[in-house]
Amino acid sequence: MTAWIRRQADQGTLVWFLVLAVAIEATFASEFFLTTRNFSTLSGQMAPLWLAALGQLAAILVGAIDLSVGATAKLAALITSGVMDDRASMALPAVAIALGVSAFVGVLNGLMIVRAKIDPLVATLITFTLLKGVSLAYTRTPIGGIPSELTRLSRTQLLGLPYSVWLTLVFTVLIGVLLARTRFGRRVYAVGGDDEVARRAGVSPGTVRMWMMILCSTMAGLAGIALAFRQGVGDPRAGDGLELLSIVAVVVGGVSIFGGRGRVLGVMGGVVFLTILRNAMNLQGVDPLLSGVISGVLIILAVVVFSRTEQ
Amino acid sequence: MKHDVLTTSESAGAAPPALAGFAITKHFGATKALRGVDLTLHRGRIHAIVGENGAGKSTLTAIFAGALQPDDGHLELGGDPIAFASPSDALERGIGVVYQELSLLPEMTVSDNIMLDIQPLTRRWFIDRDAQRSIVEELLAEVGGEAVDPGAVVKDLPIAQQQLVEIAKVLAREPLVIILDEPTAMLPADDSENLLEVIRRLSASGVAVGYVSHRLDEVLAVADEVSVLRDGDLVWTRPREGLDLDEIVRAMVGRSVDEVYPERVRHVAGEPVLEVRGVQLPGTEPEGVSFTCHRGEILGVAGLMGSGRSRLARFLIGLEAATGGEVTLHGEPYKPRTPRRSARNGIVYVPEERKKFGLILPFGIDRNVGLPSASDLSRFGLVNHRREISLAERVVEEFGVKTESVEVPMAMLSGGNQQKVVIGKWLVKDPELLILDEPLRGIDINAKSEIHRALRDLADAGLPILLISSELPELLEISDRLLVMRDGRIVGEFDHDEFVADTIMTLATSEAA
Ligand SMILES: Nc1ncnc2c1ncn2[C@@H]1O[C@H](COP(=O)(O)OP(=O)(O)OP(=O)(O)O)[C@@H](O)[C@H]1O
Ligand SMILES: [Mg+2]
Repeated sequence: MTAWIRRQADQGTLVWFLVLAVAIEATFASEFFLTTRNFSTLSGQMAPLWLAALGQLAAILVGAIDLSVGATAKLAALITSGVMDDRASMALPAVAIALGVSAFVGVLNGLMIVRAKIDPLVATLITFTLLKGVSLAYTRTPIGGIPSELTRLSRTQLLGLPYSVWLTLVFTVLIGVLLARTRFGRRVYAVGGDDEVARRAGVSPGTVRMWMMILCSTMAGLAGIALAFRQGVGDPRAGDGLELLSIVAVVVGGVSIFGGRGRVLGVMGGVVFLTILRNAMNLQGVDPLLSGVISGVLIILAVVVFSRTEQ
Repeated sequence: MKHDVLTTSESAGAAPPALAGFAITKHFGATKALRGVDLTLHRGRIHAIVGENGAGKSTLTAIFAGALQPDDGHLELGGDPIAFASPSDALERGIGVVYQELSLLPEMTVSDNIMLDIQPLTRRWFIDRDAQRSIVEELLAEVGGEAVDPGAVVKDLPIAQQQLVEIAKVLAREPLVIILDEPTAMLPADDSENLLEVIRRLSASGVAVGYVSHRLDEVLAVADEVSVLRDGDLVWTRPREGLDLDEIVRAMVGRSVDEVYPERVRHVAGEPVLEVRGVQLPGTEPEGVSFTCHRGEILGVAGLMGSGRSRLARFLIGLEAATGGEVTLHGEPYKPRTPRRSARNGIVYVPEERKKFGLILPFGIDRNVGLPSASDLSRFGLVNHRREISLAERVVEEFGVKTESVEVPMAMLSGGNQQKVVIGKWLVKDPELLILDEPLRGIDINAKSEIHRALRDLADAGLPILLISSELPELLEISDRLLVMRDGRIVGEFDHDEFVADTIMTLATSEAA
């Protein structure tokens, strides 16, 4: 039994059983849960966390938990909306600048971790603080705006899913293929597993880690852009707490917090689990305070179960 | 044939050596790991490097591999001076190394480990998994690892198979020079014979081989030349021709073999301590395992890898389930539940994979030795460090651990010295029953005799010892009685005066006996 659980966790399938459990419970408890309307709300809600969690996966696989994910997303959201300022013509430059800044944040994290050999937690905490300051200096009130034709476009559905979700799925597949099918992907797992062993086999751990930190921040930037499009404005609170949620999604998805093990499939499960858990409690009218506690306890339980399978 | 090789190499004396080190010196703090060592590896020849634990063999290997930089002296590759910036630099220039501590990624599959960074690609980007699988199968077959599943995750493999994977991984990089640091230490006799064959083939194909080992019979069987290191000095390098075991041992330890092996004292065992009746390990014959271990006896357990020896040991301390049968300890019924409980009952188990279970590498000898005895050493939850130190000093003394102080981190000790500490830390605990799984791996001849002696002393003081080992000669040497296991059953039981190596080997390997 424990061997079975371990295998499921390793493959990122265990969390999907949790998803199933919550879904079944919610279906019986609320007739609204299993409607197309709720489904499209849910999938729209999921995109930012999903993108951020993919980035977090990249960082955690090489043993570097990134605490600056939320702050990066916030800055990207503010820039997107601020630069665009309700002008559709500025959409591309705005997105490009937001992504460029995010990637630069990744370079910064990477340099601190790889060159200055600062512990990833500390390095990304420094970045987190720095970015919060930059965002505050940029604006304290909602800034700019996304023209409504664009926000509508992002919600337009294709085969039952909004464009934003399709875009997210494309990134998911790209990262999944990168990790599972390419030589670079194997390097990532090797570096996360054991730097010294990777080095002995001819891999350069620093280079791999650098790229993964850049990938992580860029995905966080995408998450921020998704947030801006959803809200239609640059909200100074956008992205708050995303670092923690993304870490939880990754860990619940069976990814080893120490690096070297984990799959995209599990992270997807983690994101879906967190999202429908909240949705199910909303629908059943659970007091928001209580629902926070309930999901906290459930998450702790899940994390304990998953980390128990480490040995 | 040996002679041919020698003449070729003499005529090839003019050709530049594949890889050579000159006046290599390396210090770790005050420890002089290497002092002006010259060593030359020639194409098509096997150069054995021997020496006691801590003599500097692994340090020299690491310098050849680019994993360490020498403090003084230089390397030459094909006659030209060279400095390797990193292991991957050395690798690219054709230097392949099988390290003493395995360098595999436990979470990755056999294929992914072997082909790390050299995977065959399709459409430039994607790993060609079919091609990769067939390359891996070929490589595994080459090292005698046909039984290894390329898709298996490495951490699930027995240690002997991991060792084969490691060697296949180095071969996959098609090295011109290959250095193996104790590759057979973890292999049973059959597999190491097979590996020696692989090494001979490699050398015949023109690869320069450096071969570090404590198994001197293997060294004599395979080497073209032998270098002996002692305390970081090169004692001598000589052609295999005309060398014998005695001469090598004398150079290694500075005295002769007779003095190294203590005279064996025949032992009379006391009353039964551990009785096992009809315990069946899952997946084996229903008749199960039955035996008795008496006070003051060393009970050897022989058998091949996978014959159930380690599983039996793990069952006895509650790490593995078994069905039926009964166990009594000092006449009382005993049910193994958890390692902790067994330890409290005085059953001490020294596992075979020292890196995984035996030691905490960043800790010093003192704190490692203190671990199993922590509750005896502490008062009100505070550990008495001074007593830890004196315990550690006892271990260092009794087992001849080579170290500067008991406070240096374990990671800085040589492999063999770490092994001595693993065993030593349990012996200071005064157990009721001691179970040792492969305690003699990677230990030099002198340390082996020290461990023999320590075990004998313990047995004489009344401690029953269950000793699992794949090194049959040593097992025969030290055991009072011997069990032979195969397929999870006991297929033979011998008293010391009935020991015949051939019979035991046959029993362990085949049905008909
Ligand atoms: N990283 C290190 N830091 C400090 N001392 C070290 C380090 N590595 C090795 N040493 C010391 O250098 C000496 C030589 O060690 P080395 O590992 O080369 O021995 P060895 O001949 O390979 O022994 P063994 O047969 O036990 O593997 C030992 O005294 C060891 O304690
Ligand atoms: Mg060594």
